[in-house]
Amino acid sequence: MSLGLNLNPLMDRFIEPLAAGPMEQFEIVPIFGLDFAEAIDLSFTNASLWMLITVGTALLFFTFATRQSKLIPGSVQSMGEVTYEFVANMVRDTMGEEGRGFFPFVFTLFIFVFLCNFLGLLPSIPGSPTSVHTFTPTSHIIVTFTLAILSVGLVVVYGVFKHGFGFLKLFAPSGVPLWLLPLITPIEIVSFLSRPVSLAVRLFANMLAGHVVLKVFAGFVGTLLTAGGVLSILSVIPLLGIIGVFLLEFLVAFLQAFVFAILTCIYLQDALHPSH
Amino acid sequence: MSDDEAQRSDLSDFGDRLAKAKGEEEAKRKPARRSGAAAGDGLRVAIEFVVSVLVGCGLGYTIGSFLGSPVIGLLIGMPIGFAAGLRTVYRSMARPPAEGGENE
Repeated sequence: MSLGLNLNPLMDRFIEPLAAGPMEQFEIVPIFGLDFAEAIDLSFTNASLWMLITVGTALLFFTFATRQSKLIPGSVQSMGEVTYEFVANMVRDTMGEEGRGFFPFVFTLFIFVFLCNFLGLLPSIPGSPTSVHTFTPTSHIIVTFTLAILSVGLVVVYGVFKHGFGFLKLFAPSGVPLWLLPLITPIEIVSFLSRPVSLAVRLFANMLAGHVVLKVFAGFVGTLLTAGGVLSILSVIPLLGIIGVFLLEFLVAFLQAFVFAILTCIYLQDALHPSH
Repeated sequence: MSDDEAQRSDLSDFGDRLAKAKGEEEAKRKPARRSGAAAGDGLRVAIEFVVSVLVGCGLGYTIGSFLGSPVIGLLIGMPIGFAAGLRTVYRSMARPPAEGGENE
């Protein structure tokens, strides 16, 4: 090495992983196979593992937060209370008192999405097998789409259950003249159908893009460091970039969970009152 | 007595300083947060618009191919998707999620 340092042990430890492609982190790795028939693959994968970890973390956190309720809350309890208040206010502000019944759903959704995003940002344990590397389930569109379909499905089911055919008023906004309805109705239907898709794409794209950017910057560090000479010193710049993007990703993790939850609230508001 | 007064004036002075510091801090923070939120809003709206157009196209194409002519279906579906996209964008800008459905 031109720096006069023996970088080889360092290379093996840190640079090698950096050389991995930016998309490799999203690969689904089966942990143990459950391939029932040729058509159905129910293998337990790293995605399943991290969703389980997410649920476990949430369960553990709220068990601790509510175990010994005190009048003057401790740190864990007040974190739990702040989370509760935050989602409760969001539900109350968008849907009013009628929306109370949806609180458990919105709260679960918010916590699940947030913890998936958040835990996916933790660094992997160095040297661990690929199957247990840190994984962000929300960086896969099938996961986010399932969640989005769940929300919009709830809107449809609850809307039809509560209003019957009146739910169809959603596609015919009040105050529109009759002759415009044949034009407005298809537009409203397409607009409604694009909701789950945009809900899913937004969350998925944000998570995917963030992790790819981190990986690409990490690749820059590796390339510059091995280039030698002045270029090795320049590798500090992408490293600082990684730190910045990494911190930003924590904000994005929260913000996307928040947006997902609040849009669910706004759509559920439609189920409560279909006529705009 | 004088001690008490001195303390009180000290306290009110502290309150003033605290309020001033808070104001400065807020003023410093606000613009940054706003531009960040605006960028987020922009991205959100862009995704919504593109998705609406694509859903319109997809729906038109599917219905069209069932009825025999996917091309005509696509041609009808695309402008509907475009209009739906504009409508979604307009609606979400008139009602930013951060404020919920209050302005409805």
